[in-house]
Amino acid sequence: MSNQQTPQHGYWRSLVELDAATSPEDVVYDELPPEAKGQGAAEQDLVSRRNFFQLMGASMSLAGVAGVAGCKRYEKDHIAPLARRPEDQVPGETQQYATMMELGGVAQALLATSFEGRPIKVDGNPEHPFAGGPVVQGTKRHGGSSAFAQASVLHLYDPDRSQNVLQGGKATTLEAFRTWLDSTRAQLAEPGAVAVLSEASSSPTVARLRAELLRDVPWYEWEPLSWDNERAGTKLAFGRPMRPVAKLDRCHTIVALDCDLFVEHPASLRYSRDFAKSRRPSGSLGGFEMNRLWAVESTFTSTGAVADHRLPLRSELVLPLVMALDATLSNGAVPASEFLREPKVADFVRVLAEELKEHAGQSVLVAGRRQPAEVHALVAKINEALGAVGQTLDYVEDPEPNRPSHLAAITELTGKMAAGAIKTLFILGGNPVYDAPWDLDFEAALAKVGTTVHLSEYANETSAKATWHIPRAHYLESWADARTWDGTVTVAQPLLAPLYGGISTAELLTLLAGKPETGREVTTATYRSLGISTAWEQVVHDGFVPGAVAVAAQVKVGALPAVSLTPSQQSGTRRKNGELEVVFAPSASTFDGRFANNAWLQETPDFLTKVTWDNYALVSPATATDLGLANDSLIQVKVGDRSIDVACYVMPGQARYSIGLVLGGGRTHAGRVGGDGKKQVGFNTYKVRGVNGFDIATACSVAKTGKDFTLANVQEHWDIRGRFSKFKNIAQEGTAERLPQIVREANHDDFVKDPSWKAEPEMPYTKEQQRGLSLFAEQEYAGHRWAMSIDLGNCTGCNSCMVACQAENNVPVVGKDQVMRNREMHWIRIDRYFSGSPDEPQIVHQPLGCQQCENAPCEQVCPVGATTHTDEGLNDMAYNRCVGTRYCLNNCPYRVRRFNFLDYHKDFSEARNRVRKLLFNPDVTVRSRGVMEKCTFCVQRIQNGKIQHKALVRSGQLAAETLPAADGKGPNALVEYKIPDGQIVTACQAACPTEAIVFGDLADPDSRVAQLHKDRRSYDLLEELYTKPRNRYLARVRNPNPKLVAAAPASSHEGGH
Amino acid sequence: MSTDVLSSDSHEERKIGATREVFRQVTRDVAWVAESPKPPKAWYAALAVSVSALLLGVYCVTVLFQRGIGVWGNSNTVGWAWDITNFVFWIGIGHAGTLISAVLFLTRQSWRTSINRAAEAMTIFAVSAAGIFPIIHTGRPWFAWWMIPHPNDMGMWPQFRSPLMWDVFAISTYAITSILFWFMGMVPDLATFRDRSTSKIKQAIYGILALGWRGSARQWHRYERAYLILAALSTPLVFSVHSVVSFDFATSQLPGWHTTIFPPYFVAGAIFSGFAMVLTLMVPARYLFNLKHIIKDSHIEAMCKIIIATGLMVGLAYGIEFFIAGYSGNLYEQFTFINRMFGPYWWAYFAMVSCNVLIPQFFWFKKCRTNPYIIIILCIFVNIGMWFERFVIIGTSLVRSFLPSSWAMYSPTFYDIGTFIGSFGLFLTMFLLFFRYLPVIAIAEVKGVQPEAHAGKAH
Repeated sequence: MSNQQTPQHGYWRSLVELDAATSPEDVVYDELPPEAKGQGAAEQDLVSRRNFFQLMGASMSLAGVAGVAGCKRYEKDHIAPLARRPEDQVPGETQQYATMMELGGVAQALLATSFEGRPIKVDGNPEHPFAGGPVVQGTKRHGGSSAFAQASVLHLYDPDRSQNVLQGGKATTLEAFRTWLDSTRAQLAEPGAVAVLSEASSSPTVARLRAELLRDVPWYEWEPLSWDNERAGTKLAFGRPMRPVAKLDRCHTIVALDCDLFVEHPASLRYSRDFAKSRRPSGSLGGFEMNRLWAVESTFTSTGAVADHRLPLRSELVLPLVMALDATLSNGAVPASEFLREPKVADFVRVLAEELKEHAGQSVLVAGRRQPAEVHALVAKINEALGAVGQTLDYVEDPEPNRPSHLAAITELTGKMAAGAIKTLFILGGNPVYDAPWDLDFEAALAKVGTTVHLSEYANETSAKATWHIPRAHYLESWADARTWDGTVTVAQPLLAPLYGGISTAELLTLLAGKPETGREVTTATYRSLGISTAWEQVVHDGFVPGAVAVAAQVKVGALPAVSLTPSQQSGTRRKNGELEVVFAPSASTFDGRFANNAWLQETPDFLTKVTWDNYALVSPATATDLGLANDSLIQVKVGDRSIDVACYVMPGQARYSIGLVLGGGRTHAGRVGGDGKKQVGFNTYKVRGVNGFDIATACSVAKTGKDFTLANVQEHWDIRGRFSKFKNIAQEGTAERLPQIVREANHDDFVKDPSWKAEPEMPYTKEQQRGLSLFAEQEYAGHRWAMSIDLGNCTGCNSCMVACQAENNVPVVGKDQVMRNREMHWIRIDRYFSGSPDEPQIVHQPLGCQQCENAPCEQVCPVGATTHTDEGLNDMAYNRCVGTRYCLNNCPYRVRRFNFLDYHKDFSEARNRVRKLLFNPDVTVRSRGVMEKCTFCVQRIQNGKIQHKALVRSGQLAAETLPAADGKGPNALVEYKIPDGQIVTACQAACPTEAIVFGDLADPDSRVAQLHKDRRSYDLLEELYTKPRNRYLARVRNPNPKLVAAAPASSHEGGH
Repeated sequence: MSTDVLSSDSHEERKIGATREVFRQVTRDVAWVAESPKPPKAWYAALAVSVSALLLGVYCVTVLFQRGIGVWGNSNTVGWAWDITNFVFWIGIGHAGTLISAVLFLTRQSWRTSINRAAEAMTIFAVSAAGIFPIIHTGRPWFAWWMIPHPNDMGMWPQFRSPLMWDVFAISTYAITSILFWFMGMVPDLATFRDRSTSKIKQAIYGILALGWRGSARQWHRYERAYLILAALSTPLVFSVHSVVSFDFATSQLPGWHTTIFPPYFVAGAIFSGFAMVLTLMVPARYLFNLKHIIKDSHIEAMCKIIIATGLMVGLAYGIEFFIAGYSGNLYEQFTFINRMFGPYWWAYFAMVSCNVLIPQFFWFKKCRTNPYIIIILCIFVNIGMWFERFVIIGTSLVRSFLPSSWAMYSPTFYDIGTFIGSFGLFLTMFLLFFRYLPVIAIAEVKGVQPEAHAGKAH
């Protein structure tokens, strides 16, 4: 009851507070002057005035193209006041620089926002040929980004990021490492004794250095969430690995086979955007045409959530399903798997095959990472047979066709290490001690290697076992390059000098070769070697090399080897405990575990489970009932003879007899947020992931442990809450009753057939008639009328908007304990509901921020007028006027107001955490405790946009255009300038990969938001309250195949959760 | 006149002497409590318990101020919980005092005189306990004074559309009027205490408080006039204060709060709970301080009858609420009431109905209205029920409002409970001190309603 002051996962909490058993040495260590802790720690208090100016100066000079080399710590030097302002620097104004983040060997093109030399925000690069581009008609430029990219900027200022070169765990300097390297260079030349284990990289620079400098050094690549099965599959089909790049904007039918197109896929941003284009009525397919998405998957993913048809199926059964589909299409023999005879599955395959034939050349199949090579090969065959290649699908050459698969590489390397053949091992990034298959026993093999050098942003589990640990520079601190999924070379530039003195992978490679070069030198050298005509300055400015795209290859599927099905793929659909399947899924918050120390991501609820802070085992409701498993308990999952205890989450829609183990938890060396050995966040599910059953493990069992474990869920799961057993369905019934009002949907056929269909039915009184009937005088608007439109049909639940909002608006992280008390602070959230049966539900979801009501219930009840209405229709918060009665919260029907129950920024006063303050958006107040806060429509961006536009107009650079009056006759009374539509973009809107969020000015009748508000899909949430929200939703239009709907029992919003 | 005449044992003289003796006895009986060198041991025991509870409350509020509202169980779904529940609970308790002292005075219910002083004191102490919550429940209590309109050069001004602002005025008016009424009524008795005091300190303190009362006819005349005016001023407050408090809920748009029935429903409930509290305190007190012949059985019975009446009113309101919810056809409104009855807080709802509607029905039986033990037990149940009524209204409406995504459960923390116990500590401590040091019974008024006071009228 009184333990709320000892949160489980507080943000930047001191060790003392977190763990009463802090050793006295730690305390003493903190008391020591920085110099006493080793030279590298000298920058401990980074925001002392002196250090701040040093950093600022350094980063300013680095921010431009020409500057100091990014790899060096800024030398102590005399500083002089900035008497003459650099040309492109205006104090108080932000600059944007194109850059790039590499995740799993694939680049994400980004645009970083820098405020006076410190990066505070990243967004997608709208100019990038693969990643950028608009979705909504009328949008000029748009570049979505992933939640991981949005959150990556937090790592830059993470005080837990590695700050020292470590030798045997003791702090030393990079000089010492270089000295050691020089002294052992002779030994390094010994053939076969040295190896490199790198995380996946598509960097042309790394490839060049490897080819030039480390020609004789064996190079192994390891990535725990690998797409190598696809390489193997295309190799089966084409004779060499190829990379499929689908063009979803041309597809009428999209089939995702155990594949999450929108979050997990390396091309997820592009796929999301293209999907949204062909998904919108009057989108890229023209007219009312919409694509139809079919998903077959074991664990629920975003793709399944937005799919029109979703078949929950054990991952191992996807192979026979694809064989059956292939057979149906080519009139072959359907494999003799029992489940295929189930009417549900048989209908699914039959109708899907019919539709694919019907839309030949307008459809594509994509198989997921987990699926074996045979599935990918069959998918290639089907796609070819359907004429997809060249139409909806391109194949590009794999950048490294001869590379062994990640699994094969680490197996081979570990074997050599265990045999003692490797004397020196360089590990470039990654964390194999944590995430390598357990049966390889990488840790034991590592102990047999003479010297290991680990380059990593964090001193992680692998660093702890390595001889040397070298801090790696963050991507915002270094020069780098990598390729996006389609092969476009994308360039990263540093925005500031490495805060903690890290170096990049390329820089380390030059050190190894004994030819040290700066990151900039090696990157420009690569650029020169590629022989591109575009000026380097232009490349850095744009963030990519134009035209450096892999061209579509002409390939033909050869004869595929015969596939034999395992007994479990053939036999009955009912499985016993011990015959269950376990699949490994990436975490929405930590990916493969690497983002574990990112509190933003940890606290962003998984879209589907709404769980924060921990990972878990996903169990289907039917399996849970069979085996007596319940939410909020620990279960034992046994794979082979290995077992782990993990929290159980009963997930509606999870395939029966399939357990989804989410990866990325249970870190021991992540940091104070993600697990530092003293406390644990989640469970290390890698402990049961072996070489066999690496993606899909079979013959697994699950058992109760009898222990409880509470997951911090931001939405309740009602099944355990019904204490008055006879009436326990009240919540479900109440939800089911109101949900069709809250999240409105239409069926595509009905939507097309009935042009008078409207999401918002006619009310007895129109809004105009209601005007004046309100108790209080209603406000009239003369100038701008800011508004938003959220398209429920395009939202994939990728969580980017949530993290973007957190970054933009200095939204605090509260920790697991506070989340369990329903005190999460997100200004925008994504509500998720289920409809239909628990075994095969549909997902109904809705992103929800402040609705900015014109008749705001919150404003009326504030006793001190801390929340008031602006002339432009915004519902503003005056934080320093708020006394915190929380009456506004109670009166908000949307529950979007967030109260600072405690001082959630308390930890920033700690010296080591002060660096984190550099990340704050200077345009947004950091709220104190006892104050209410909520979404502001990014009012700071609105004001900046207005100011910038006015400045341009007044300086004569833009012609003034005045907004029309509300009745459309003449100019408005305030003579406000019309701001070009799309100039002001909210943070959530900018991040959204599908452009589901559109913001603009209703006073401008041509603006997209004004048009979208008139769309017949548009509706007000809880319109009967007459709050007149400025945000309107666009109802989701589902596009099920009528034949399958007829075959299956009708599912409506019954029994929502 | 000779001394013979004075000492003659005529009928008249004897009668006057007997009357005087009765009056003296009243004075002695009441002043005894304050004048005895040592109060009963039970008083010390009660004070020890009360002060401990008060200290617990002080500790909890200190922690609350230090760390924030987060030490309580409130959340972004349940903005108000025990804080406002306790506030409404205590405000309601106070209402009986005002009703007894003002309304019953104006309607000439002479039985009120035996209990009106204590009931008024209870009002003030209850309002004190209530008044703490709106202040400490704010996120930044050090700025709570911003709710009071005050001239400043920043143009800051309260927002008068907010019912919380109406509360500020309702509660402060109520507190001021109640204190004035109570204190003014006490002046003649304080003068009596002054006159009877033996120690210099007591003489000085009571002397200051008695404001120079001499008991002259003119003073009595003005006293009676002023008392009548204050009674007339207080009477509307009985109805207005709790109506305004109910506006906090009635004018919001939350299903379960947004109800037009709330003002009369809240007033009836307030009087109901107030009388229950008066009885809970006075029944033991009349034994403890030997005041049975002043606070008579008939007075206690009258109060029990009021509890039946107001209990039925409250019960009617519960029924009407349900009917209207069903009749409205409003999805959200209907769900709120179904959820109240059968949702996760069903036990709170049934505690409320059984304590407030069923339990008072025992007072139909005379035995229950006369047995002190039964009275106390039943009245404690009524007070529990009334606390639950406020929690049911505030809590169960908030936990499940419009959007199911934000539905959440609420559970109190140690600090919620500690603060509530602390408010009881404050109330009881003040009450015990009042009993020890101030005239707990309106001596002058009681004398006025003794049968002997009217004996001379025959002439």
